[in-house]
Amino acid sequence: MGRDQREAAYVEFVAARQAHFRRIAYALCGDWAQADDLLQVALVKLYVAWPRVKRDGREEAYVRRILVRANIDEARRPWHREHLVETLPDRAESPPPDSDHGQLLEAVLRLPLMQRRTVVLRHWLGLSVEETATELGVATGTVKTHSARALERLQVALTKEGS
Amino acid sequence: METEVWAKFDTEFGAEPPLRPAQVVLADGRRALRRRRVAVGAGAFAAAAVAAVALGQLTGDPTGSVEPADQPSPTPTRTLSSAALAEQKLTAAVPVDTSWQQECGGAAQPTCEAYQEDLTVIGLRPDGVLARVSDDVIVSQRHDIDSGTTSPIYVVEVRSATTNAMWFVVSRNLDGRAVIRRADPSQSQIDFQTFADGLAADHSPSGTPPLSRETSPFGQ
Repeated sequence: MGRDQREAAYVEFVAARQAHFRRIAYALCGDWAQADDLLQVALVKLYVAWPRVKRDGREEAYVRRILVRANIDEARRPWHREHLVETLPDRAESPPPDSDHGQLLEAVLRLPLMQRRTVVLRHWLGLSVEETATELGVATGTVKTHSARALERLQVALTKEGS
Repeated sequence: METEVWAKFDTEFGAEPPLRPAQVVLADGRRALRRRRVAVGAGAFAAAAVAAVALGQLTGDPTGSVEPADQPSPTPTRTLSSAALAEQKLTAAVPVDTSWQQECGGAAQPTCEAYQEDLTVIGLRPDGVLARVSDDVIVSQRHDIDSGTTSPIYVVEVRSATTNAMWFVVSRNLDGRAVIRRADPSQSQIDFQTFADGLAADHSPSGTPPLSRETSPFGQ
């Protein structure tokens, strides 16, 4: 396959799937700008690895894995830890909900990070417990625990919203 | 929760910002490849320069310089030699790991030259040792930060002959995965040591350059 054909296949894939990938990134990080950054990193990496990834039929999994790992790395950067400040910012603890969002997405975005990642991979994207554990680099038991706690929180949140 | 609830999750996002055209994404990929080609060429030049200095040391030329022997200039060349020697020691302390070449050069795989174009030049091996991806990578400054865990945070300046130096911050997550961040010193208003000291103190001094995330070259 020549370069033109490879790039045509890449462009076709990106055009068809990047909206979905950015939603995954957004569900993980809760910020459209950061989601764009995660997506850009993932798609550039995909371009470089495209022949190998395309051959193996792993395009979706490859991009998803980079998005998840980039999100994990970003959250664990030591310079992203909380810092003490003299005065509190004049805003609520949680960002105000986006009026465009559905109730379920709002509830997902309010979950703790690991529960949110688990829910996105396990329930939205339909990965198995084992696959989710591999993606997140944790034990299957950890996935089950986060998943159960997350679903419980979501049920409570959606019940409150509905009442 | 019911499966059909999640099946409709894509509709929960409401109005979304516009996406970048796929052709623009493609251009980003091409640029990444071009940057890597420049880095590879620069690395080869740097390796040749270091080899020349090393040859000078081995052949008894105390200056380690490539100047003709009938044009001695002891003081400046001794300074250059000292700096080059220190750089050699720092570089030699970081082994080369070429395990990434398993991902390239085979049938239906990208060429190793193309693959290397987007490869982060330094990273952590699975055993936690800081390693370079090739001999072309020259370590010119290094500061190890005790992170309180079994693995320190490595702050290194990677220099080549024809490209600007790059600063890398290499550490490990609690789950053992490598985390690599890169900064461009040309965007910095502080020197390398201040940058490293800021990381050690877990704060960003004024003038700290922005850090971008890199992918581990050793598959962690």
